Amino acid sequence: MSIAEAVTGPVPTARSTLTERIEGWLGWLAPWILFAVVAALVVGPLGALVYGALRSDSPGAPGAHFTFAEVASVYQGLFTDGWSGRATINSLLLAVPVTILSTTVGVALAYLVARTDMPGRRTFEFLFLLPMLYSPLVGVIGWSVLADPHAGLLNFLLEAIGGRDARVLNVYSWAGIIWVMTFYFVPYAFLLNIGAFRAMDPALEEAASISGANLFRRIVFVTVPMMLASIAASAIFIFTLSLEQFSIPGFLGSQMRLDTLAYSIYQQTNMFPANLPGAAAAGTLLLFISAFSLWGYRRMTKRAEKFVTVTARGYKPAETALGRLRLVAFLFALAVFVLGAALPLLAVVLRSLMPVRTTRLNMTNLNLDHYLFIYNADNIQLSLFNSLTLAAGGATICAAAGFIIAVAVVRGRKRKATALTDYLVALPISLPGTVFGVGMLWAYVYTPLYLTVWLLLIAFVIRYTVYGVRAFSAGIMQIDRALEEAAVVSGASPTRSFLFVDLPLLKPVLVSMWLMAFLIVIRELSASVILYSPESVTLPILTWTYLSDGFYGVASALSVVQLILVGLVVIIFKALFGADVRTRSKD
Amino acid sequence: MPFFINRRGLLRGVVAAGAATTIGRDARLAAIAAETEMEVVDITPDLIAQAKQEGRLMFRYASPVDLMTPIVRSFEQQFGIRVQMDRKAGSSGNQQFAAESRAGRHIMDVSSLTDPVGLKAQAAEGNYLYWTLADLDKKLPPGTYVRGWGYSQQWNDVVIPYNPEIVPHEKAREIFQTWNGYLDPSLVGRIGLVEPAATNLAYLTYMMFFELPRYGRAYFEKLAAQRPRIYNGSAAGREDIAAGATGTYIPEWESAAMIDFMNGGKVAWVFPEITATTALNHIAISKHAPNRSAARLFAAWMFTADAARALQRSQTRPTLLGVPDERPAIAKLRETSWWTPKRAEVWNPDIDHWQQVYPTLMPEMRRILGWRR
Repeated sequence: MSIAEAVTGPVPTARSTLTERIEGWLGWLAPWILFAVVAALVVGPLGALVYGALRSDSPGAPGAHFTFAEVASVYQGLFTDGWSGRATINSLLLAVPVTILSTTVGVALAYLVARTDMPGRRTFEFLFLLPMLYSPLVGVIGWSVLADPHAGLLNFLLEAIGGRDARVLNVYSWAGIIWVMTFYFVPYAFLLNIGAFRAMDPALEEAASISGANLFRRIVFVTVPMMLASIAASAIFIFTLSLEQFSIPGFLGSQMRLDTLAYSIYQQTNMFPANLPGAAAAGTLLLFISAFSLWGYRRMTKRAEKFVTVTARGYKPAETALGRLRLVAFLFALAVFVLGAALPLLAVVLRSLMPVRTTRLNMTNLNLDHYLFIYNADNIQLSLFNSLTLAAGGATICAAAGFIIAVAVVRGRKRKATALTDYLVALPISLPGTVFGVGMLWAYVYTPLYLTVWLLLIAFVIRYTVYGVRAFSAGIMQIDRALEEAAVVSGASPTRSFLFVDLPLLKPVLVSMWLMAFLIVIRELSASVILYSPESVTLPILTWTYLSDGFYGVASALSVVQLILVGLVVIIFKALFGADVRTRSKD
Repeated sequence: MPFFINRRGLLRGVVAAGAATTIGRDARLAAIAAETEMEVVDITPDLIAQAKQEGRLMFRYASPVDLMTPIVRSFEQQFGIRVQMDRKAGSSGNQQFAAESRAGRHIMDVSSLTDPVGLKAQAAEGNYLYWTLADLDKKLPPGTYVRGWGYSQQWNDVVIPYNPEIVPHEKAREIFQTWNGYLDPSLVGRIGLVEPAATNLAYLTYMMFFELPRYGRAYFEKLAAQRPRIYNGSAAGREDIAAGATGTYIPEWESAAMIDFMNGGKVAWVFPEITATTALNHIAISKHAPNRSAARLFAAWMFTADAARALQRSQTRPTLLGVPDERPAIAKLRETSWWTPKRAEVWNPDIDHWQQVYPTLMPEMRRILGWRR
C-alpha cells in the first residue's frame, strides 16, 4: 500500500491515469500494437540470426540447407568441454566479478553525488563520465601503456621506487582484465542510478535517522532496498554487456590465451573462411543467458509498489551530511576518477603526442603531428556529423520508445503482450555487436535502407531502447500512482497529469538516460563496422580503422578530439537541463 | 545409447565438409570457365571514354587506408573518375559482397579484399567477373593471381623484425639466419605472435612452419614453449616492439616495417633463409558492377607503371614485372649498417590447401600456443 493510500484510503484507479486513458483510446489492442511494433524491429535481425544458425552456410548461399550441426556443436560443447563450454565459463568468470564491482562502485558514487554533501560532487558528476566519451579500445591502449609488465610506465615508476621486483602490474592477467572492465562499466552503473537517487523521497531515511539509525544502517536497510529496482536493472545491464563485450577481453586476454564467448563469436565472423552460421549459433546461447537474467530481474521487481519512493507527500530531498566521512568520500571518488579515467586518459593523450612509441619516454620528441594528420584526413567532418546526429537522434528515439514501453510494462495491465515486449526489447543488447550487425545485414540488405545512415540509426534504436525501458521502468516504479490519481481527482486531464506530475518527477531519469544513450551511441563500433558505408562512416569507425592499421598515435589523437567534442556536448546538455535536475536536491 | 558428437568426430566431419566444399566450389569454377569466355581487360580509348561517362566507381578493399588512398587518388587525378573507397578488413568484405549479391543488390564495382578463399567462393557463385589482364604473363609472375578471377598488385614479404635495444643488430644477424633464432633462450617471454585465427598472414606463416620438414610441428611447439605474447592483430605486435615490451614478433611484413622505420620507429629487420611471401590482395571485378567500364578501367590501371609507382610511395613492393624497386625507404635503408636486401627462399602458399587444412590446423595451432579447448 502506498503512503497516499494509507492516508486517504484506496483511490479509485480505473480510467484515471494516463496509461489507462491511452489504453482506453486504443482498447485492449494497445499492448499488442506496441508488441507488434517492437517485434517488427527486433525480429528481423534476430530471426535472421536464428535462421542463419540453422543453415549449413549463410542465408541465401547456394546449396545451403537446414542443419542442427552448428547449434548442436555449441550446446553440446557446454557439457563436453567443447569450445563453447570453456568460453562460457570464462565469460561468466569475468562478468560476475565485473558486475559486482562496477555496480557497487557506480552505485556508491551515484549516492555520494546525488544524496550527500561530498565536496566537489558537481565536478565529479562530469568527470565520472569521461571513460564513456571514448572507445573501450582506447582505454585498453591507455592501460597497455601504463601497466604492461615489460614496458608499462607505471611499472617503470614502481621500478624507480622499489627496484626491479616492484614491477608488479600486469594488465594482461585476470586481475588486469577485470580491472579495466570494471572501470569501463562504473559510469554505466553511475548514470543508471543517479537519476533514481535524485528522484527518491528521503522520508524513510529521515525516519530511520530520527529513530537512531547511523549512516551505514540507513544505507543498508533503507536506501538500498528502496533503490533495489534501479540497482538490479543496472546490474543486469552490466552483466549482459560484460558477456557481450569482446574488445577488452579479446585484446588483453589473448596474451593469456583466454577465450570468452563473445570473442570466440567475433573470431568465427572474422576467420578465413568465416563461419557465420557458427557465430549465429553461439549468439543464441548469449540470448538464452540474457533472457534468463532478465527473468530474474522481472521476478525481483514483480511487485512494483515495493520500490515506491516518490509519494504524494510533499518532500524536500535533503543532502545527507557525511560529517567526518566527507574527506573519505572525496578521496574515494578521487581515486575512482584517477584510476578509472585520468590515468588511462593521460596515457592516451601522451600516446597521441608521441610520433612513435619508444622504450623510454622522451618529452622533447612530443609533437602535434597526429592532430595535423587528423585535420587533413578525409571523412573527418562527415564522420563527426554522422556521429553527433546519430547519437542525438538515437538517444531521443530510445528515450521516447523506452518511456512508452516502460509505462506499458510497469503501469499497464498485466498482459502477456507487455511481458513479451519487455523480453523482446532486451534481447538485442545481449548479442555481441558484430553478430547483431550480421543479423541486421542479412535482414536489411533487401531494403532501400541498406548502406544508409538510417540503417545505423535503426540498429542503434533496436539495440539500445532497452536502456530507456530499464531506466524509466525503475523511475516509474518509484512514483506512487496516488500522485497521478490525485491530479486526476483534482480535475486535471490525464495529459496535464502526465505533463505536470509524471514528467517533472521523471526528468532526472530522462536526463541521465538520454545522456547515457547519447554516449553509448556515439562510440558504438561493433555493429556499425558491419553496416557502415563510405557515406555513413562514424568517428569510432575511423578510430578503429587507424588502430587496426597500426596508427596508434592517430587513433589516440582522434579519441582525444572525440572526447573534447563530446565533452562539450555533455557540458552544454547539462547546462541546459542539469540545473533543473539539481534543483530538487538543492531546494 | 545416447548420441554425442565428440571432438574427434566433429573435426573429421569438418575436414570432410571442407574438402567437399573445396571440390564442389572448384567444380563450379571449372564449369564457369568452360562455359564462359575469359574477358580480356585492357585500357583502350573507348574504355576510358565510357568510364569517364560513368564518372564514378565503388572500390571495397582491405589494405591499410594510407596505403590505398594515394593509389586511388592517382587514378582519380589521371581520369577524373571519382572512386568511393569502402574499407572492409578481414573476411567481412566478401561476406558483405556475398549478402549483397544474393539479395540482388549490386553496389560494389571492384574489390581487393585479401581473402582468396572468399574470392573463390564468390566467383563460384557467379558474382565475380571471369577476366584476365592483357599480356598477363608479361605483367605478373605466377603465384600472384587466381587465374580468371583475381590479380594481386602487391607482394607481402614476411620479415623478422626486432628492436635493436632488446636484440642488438649483431645478435639479430647471427640468430635470425633461420627461424630457429626465435628459440634463443634470451628471447623467452620477449616474443610476440599474432594469433593464428586473427589474420591470414599469421596463419600462413605458421602453416609454413608446419609444412616445411626442417621446421614442422615440433618447431611450433618449441616456439610456444618460449612463452610468446599473443596478439589479436598485427598492429599491437608492432607497437610492443617499438615500446620494448617484446624484442621481436611474427609475422611482420617488410612494407609495414619500412613505414615504421621511415616514421622514426626503433625497428630493424632481417630476412631469414626462407620466408612466406604472399600476394593475396586480389583485384577482382564484380560481375554485376554498376559502373561497368569504370570498374574495368580501374582494375586494369592497377597493373600499370603509374599504379606501381604510387604503390611504391607507400613502401609496398609491386608485383608488376619490370618495375625497378624505387621505394623511398630503400635509399634511407642503404645508409644504415644493418639493412640487407631480400635474399630469402620464397614460400608461397597454395590457397586450396590452405582452405582444406584450415579447420583442423588452425585449432591445432591455437592448442599448441596454450588455448584450452
